[in-house]
Amino acid sequence: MLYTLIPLLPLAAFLILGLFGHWIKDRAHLVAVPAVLTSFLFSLFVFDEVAGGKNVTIPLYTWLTSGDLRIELSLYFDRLTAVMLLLVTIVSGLVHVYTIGYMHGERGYARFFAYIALFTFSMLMLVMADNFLQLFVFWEAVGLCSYLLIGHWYERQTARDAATKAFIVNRVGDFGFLLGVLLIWLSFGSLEYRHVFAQAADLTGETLNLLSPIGGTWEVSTLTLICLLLFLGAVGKSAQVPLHVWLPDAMEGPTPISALIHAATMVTAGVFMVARMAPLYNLSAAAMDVVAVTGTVTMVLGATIALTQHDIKRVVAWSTVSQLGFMMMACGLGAYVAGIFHLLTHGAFKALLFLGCGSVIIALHHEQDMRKMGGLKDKLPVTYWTFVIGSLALAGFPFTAGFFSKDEILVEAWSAGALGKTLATFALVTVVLTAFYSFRLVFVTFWGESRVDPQHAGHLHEPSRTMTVPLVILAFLSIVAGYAAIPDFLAPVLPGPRGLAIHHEHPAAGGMMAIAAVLGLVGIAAAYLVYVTSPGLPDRLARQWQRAYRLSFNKWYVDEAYDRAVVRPTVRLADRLWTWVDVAVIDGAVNGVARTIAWWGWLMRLVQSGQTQHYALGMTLGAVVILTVYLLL
Amino acid sequence: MVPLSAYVAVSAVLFTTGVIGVLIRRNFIIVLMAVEIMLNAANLNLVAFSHYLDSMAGQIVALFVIAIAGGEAAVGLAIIIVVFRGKISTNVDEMNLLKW
Amino acid sequence: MTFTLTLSGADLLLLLPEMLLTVWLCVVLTMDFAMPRLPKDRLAYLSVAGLAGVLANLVWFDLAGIGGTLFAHMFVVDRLAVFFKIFIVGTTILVILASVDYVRRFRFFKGEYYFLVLMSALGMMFMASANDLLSVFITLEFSTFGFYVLVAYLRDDVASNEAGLKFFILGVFAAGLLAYGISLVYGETGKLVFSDIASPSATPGLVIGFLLIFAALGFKIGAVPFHSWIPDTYHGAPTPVTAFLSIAPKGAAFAILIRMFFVSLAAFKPAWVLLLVGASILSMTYGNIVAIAQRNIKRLLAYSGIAQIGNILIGLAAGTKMGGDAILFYLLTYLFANLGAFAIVIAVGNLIRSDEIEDYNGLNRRSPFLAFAMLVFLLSLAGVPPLAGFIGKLYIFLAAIDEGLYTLIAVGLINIVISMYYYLVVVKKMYINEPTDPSPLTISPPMKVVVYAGLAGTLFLGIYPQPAINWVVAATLMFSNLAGPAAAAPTLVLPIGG
Repeated sequence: MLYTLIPLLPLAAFLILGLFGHWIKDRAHLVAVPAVLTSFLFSLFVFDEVAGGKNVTIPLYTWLTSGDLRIELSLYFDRLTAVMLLLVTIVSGLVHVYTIGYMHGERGYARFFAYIALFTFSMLMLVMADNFLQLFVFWEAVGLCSYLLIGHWYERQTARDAATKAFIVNRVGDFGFLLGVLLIWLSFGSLEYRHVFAQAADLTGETLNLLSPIGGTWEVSTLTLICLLLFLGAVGKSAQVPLHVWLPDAMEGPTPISALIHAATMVTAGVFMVARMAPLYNLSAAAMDVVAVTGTVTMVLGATIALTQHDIKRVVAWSTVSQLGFMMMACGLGAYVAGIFHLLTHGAFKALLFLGCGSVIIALHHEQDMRKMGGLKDKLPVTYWTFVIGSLALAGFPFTAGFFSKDEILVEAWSAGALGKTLATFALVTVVLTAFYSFRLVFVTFWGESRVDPQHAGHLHEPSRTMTVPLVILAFLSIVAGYAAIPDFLAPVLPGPRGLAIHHEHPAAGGMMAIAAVLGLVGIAAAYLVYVTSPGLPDRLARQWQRAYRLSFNKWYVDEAYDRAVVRPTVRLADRLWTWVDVAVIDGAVNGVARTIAWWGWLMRLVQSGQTQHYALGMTLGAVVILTVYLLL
Repeated sequence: MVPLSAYVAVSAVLFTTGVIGVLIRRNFIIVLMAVEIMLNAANLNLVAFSHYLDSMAGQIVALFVIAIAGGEAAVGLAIIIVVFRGKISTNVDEMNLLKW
Repeated sequence: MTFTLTLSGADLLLLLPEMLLTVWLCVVLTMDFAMPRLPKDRLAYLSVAGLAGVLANLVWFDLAGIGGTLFAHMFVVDRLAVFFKIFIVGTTILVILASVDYVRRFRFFKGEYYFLVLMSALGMMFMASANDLLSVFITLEFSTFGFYVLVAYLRDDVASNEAGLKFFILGVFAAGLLAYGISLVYGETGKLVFSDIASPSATPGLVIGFLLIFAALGFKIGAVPFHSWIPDTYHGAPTPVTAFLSIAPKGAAFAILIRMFFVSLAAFKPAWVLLLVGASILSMTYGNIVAIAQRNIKRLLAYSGIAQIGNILIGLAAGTKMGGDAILFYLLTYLFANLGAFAIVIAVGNLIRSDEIEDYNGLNRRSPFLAFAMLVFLLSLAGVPPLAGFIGKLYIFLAAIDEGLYTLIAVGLINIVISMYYYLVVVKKMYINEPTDPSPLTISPPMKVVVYAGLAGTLFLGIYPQPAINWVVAATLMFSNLAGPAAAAPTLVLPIGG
């Protein structure tokens, strides 16, 4: 009963708010917040139960049966589910609280709560799914909620197509996912995890001829095909290259949504799915390599692009893309435990960063451009300090949560063969970039001279208590989450392809920890040099300390050289990557396909000439063609 | 006795004539007549088969086809009168307001 | 064949629903003439009351398992026929309720409108029971006559006249093809009843005959390449008639198609799978791609309907009992979603006198309820879970994958992505664009009933489909002996002509 109530409470909140929202209006949070917080308490209880090693399946009802097909809607609890439940309910609960302040007095306040309650329900059902169809249904449902939330509360008129784009790009991924599910049904005759996983090994060596409809031969391992098709869904949902284009645009939605859906929960569903399907992926080395490489490409691309963005939310969004790639790389290298560990810590500190952005945006009356910020650290102390903690965690600063989970991935990756070593090297580069852009964000936004629009500069103040308390709690979690023994807790349920071995005692572990920490510090220091020390420095020196000028000149010169040799090319490269790869190639391809189809639509509708006799002719020709085919063949 | 194939051949010619009539004639009334020819081709077939197969069913179908053809003509003429009031024309190819 | 017509009481019982409806439509027509001052809305409710009685009667048939054949097997009552009759009567009830506001705008013949709708429904009920080629021909024409008139019903509207004319010409042309096809099949086999026609040899005459019959039925359901009447007719017809035309005749025609392919032609399955696969792929792709270019919501739904029919043909191509179940279930989901969407179009059309998609701008501001309902219906048509349309598509795909129709499934899934695009264009206009005229819109009670029925059906079939699945599974029990999973992907081995 307790188990069932975890998803049902948010559902009840949704139904109450959906049906009676007209009367409840601005008291909506009194319904939604207790529901989600109670879910959280129950999740804690479940966590405790499951930690004892017991796996629970609770059937809700038989969704559909027909012939051999039998699909139950059930709740499945194991350790992986338990930690995901905690993540979802905690972040969702805090976002609910935060929303009270953020959406205060906005149009459709009750409806907004209804939709985030619905989202929470869908996400909980997704992580608790015990069969592929349930997974798929709620996979789509979270996408739908995301669509509704972006579409209803867009904050800017630009890129109004963001919601539609997100949904359609996700449908492309889901196309693969559903095909994968159908293929599983065909190969296993069941859609339940336990049946499929139990029989998965029997399927090794079986192949499928992909070109049979056109008479060719292209034998592909069925398991690899299933894994790749499912992964296509994850590529869409978790914003991996090349379907990542929707996530930055989705930032047009309200910030609490970005924190909940586009940072902590929904976008991580792809990573969760790959980890959940570990028994399948472990059997297909080829699929895992694809996952790892895709993740790495996404990681590098996201990090380089985050370097040059000016919109505060977009920096964080691109950072999310990059971190998702990082997790995906971990899963692809068989380090599922490390991937999920990072997913959890990332959920905490990225939600924190988004909510922090939200505070800044609210304080500045919906200004999102970093160039119009600066000097906010005294005006918004709580936001500032929590933001710094979040950034430290993101940068992998020693003894924050991000440090431990990042390290876990790096060590595991390094020990995963030649491919692992190569990808781990890329990951180390990304560590520097990550530290750099996250502290660029801190320095430009909170330090230095205020560049705030004077109109708002006078009455800058910290937002209400409902918004700062979630920040503080998340900041706390961003530090302590690393000390929970999550990897050991998860290891039994997520066996990698090489068995259960945990590489804590790996010789590289200590070294990797040190390297990652140093690289993180280097990134932070570089950001400090570029964004704090050098701007305005020459002016100040020249004006105030004429004598020291020459002394400091050297330093300035070093900075300049550094700037010329390293920063500018990197920035330029990042910029190019963004304009060429992202805007021109990927966006272009996506839009190009859409445009081509639309163009064909305009062309083909001309067949419908309006002349009745053309129609009759079309029917006759159609019949004649069919007849000829049949009589001649 | 006339062989069955002769009936079938005549019927096929009639049917083709009807189809071509529907496709190329502009005047609605003539299009309607062409459809009647198609239906009569079917009738000819049905009666001929009925005779050669020694089964009554075909002739009964033919009777129904004739009845339905009558109904079609009635509805069709009613529609063309309505259209004619608006357009002052019975030419099928002038009805192309709705397209694409 | 002997022609002794001996009808016992038990035989007449099988005809009870049709007889009830016949009596009732005479009552409606008489009331219209006899009481000229009677508000015509009353006739609508009177018709609905009669249909509700017929529906109760059919439900009783279904629960009691009453069945049998009449008139030398021309007329059959079995679970399949009863399913389709319930489908048709249910659709008719909702269409009449959705028509009430619209009919008030007519200048003439308000009462006859309801009479004609009932008459078409009666014709389609007979279609659902048609078990031989003669009754196929008669019932098909019988139901279509009513539609010819209904489509051209707006006497002063040039578009409606033109739509009626086009529908009529193409309809009688299709009837000509059907009659000729029937004559050929009769000539080759000497039989008319579906189960008797099942003969092992395929002669050219039989092939041509059945293809012509398929052309006529394909015309009825609007499958490419026999679809061309659909956009123009849907566009010009009065919107409630379009709603009716887009659902009920398609259901009735599928009753005949299922009997024809699953009973008469079961032995030739490898041959016709190719035909249906082709028609399905063409319908889905053509419908979805051209829908993108539409600016009128009725035309958009017309093309979307062509694409939906392509989806249903997948189930027919599977050719198994599960395929049959899937068709029936899909039709149910299509009924609620499509009728719901048309109900919104009727409501909006009544209020703002426009069917252009542009005029749906900011509908959410003007009526959140209408916008939300339309969103649900469009998403269901697009197959988004957990709505009914998703289960329908899933069922169809599962039936097809058991038969190894991989190409068809891949094309179907790609088409879902394409269709998403134009459905979302409408959604975006409703939710994100600003309205030109922000005055709020309110809808009448009968319209509300239709929209609520559509919403309830769409959600219920999506969240708890089991009762409906049990029902469709029971309705197709007679096909359980159909060939199980085919050996492999469809091959091009055609036993025809040799």
